[in-house]
Amino acid sequence: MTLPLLIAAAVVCVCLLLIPSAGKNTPPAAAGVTPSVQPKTSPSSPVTEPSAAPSESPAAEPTPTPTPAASPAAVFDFTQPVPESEPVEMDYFSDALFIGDSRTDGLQIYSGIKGADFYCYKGLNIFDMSKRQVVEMNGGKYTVVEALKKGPQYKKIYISLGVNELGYPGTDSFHKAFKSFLEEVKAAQPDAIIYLQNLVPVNPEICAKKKQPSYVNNDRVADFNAVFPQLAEECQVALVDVKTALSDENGILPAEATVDGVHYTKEWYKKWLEYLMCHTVTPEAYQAAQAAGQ
Amino acid sequence: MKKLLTRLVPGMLALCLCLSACGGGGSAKSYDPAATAKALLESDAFTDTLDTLDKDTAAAMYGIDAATITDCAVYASLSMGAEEIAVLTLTDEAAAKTAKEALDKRVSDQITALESYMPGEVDKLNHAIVEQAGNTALLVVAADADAARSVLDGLN
Repeated sequence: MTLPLLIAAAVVCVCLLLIPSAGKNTPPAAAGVTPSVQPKTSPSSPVTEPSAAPSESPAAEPTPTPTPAASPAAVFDFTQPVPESEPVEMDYFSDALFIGDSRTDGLQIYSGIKGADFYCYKGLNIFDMSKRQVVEMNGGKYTVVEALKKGPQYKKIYISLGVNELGYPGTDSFHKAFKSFLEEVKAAQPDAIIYLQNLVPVNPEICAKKKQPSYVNNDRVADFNAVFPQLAEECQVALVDVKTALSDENGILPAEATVDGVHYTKEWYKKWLEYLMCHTVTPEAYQAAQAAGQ
Repeated sequence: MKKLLTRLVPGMLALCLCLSACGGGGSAKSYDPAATAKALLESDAFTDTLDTLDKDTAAAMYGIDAATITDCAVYASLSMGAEEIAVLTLTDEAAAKTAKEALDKRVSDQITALESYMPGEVDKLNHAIVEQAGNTALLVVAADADAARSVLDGLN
């Protein structure tokens, strides 16, 4: 009777010796994480001023013919979409902000883009910019316009809106609200190149199948796309022709690019990002064009 | 001998209690990200088309420190609807608890975002499954929450 007890006691002692070492495997509590989509801290690199004015030449310079500081090709034309350019690296977006609706939401999560901030929200439209508090920043919630004023300063701002406005009558209110918003963006973010993206069509067949609202149609998309070039010229911002890039030869969103007629597949979000990466404007050309337009 | 017994019995009892606590309950259960997501996707619980998110994107979307995620399988709706799967393995149980809180917030944020945009999706969020199991955290928003629950129960 005593021998088994002694054996048991020995087992218990061994186990008790092992328990503290097992306890050491318990890791310390992780630091609290604030689950929010806060923008990064301000990417406040110095502004690159355009060298529009010719630099002073030494007195001994024998060449009498002045050389223009910027060649005509380097000045951007706001009446035309941004032409194709050398592709940029992903770090191009490290000081970029994207403003948009659920399509931009998709770009954020499916395209593979890195480094950019996003003020995007499902159902967001141009009339919400000073109304809906959709941007989480420093523990608070702000409208897009408030966030543009209070948040970091950006070097590039991409804007994509329009799908959620298709049900509004006409395009005048859209035009007016968008123009007002672009002016606010320019005032709040004076050093940013503003890329205004036009509206990518929908796939009518899949829209019908998925019972999208009747106003989500390509006639309305075309109406709105007539407004974007006017906005680009009026507000002196760079128009990006994603409409052409992401639609097929019939001018619609191809069936293989969407599951609901409106939003894109992952492949199409990647295609969108690739297009943006090879359609950029240099700060010099952008600012020179703005100066020329004033 | 009696003295020895009085010393040993409480120790043995404590040992038994400790072993039984470690052997049962929720803390030992955990989800394998790839296997769990695969089983869910192969079920009839979803009606939407989902596609994968990489770890960094998922971490940013949920507001979870990416450094605490050691493995994950995350799928979201291509229609920007509510259906979603996130199975995360974290560095430890404390990180999993933090992740679970972030997933709870994701559900409430999605309800706010979708109640005017896609009101039909809100019911799916009201039946969302959010769990912490050991060092894993899980979010499942399905069209058929019961079917998703059955899949999860069949895994453990």
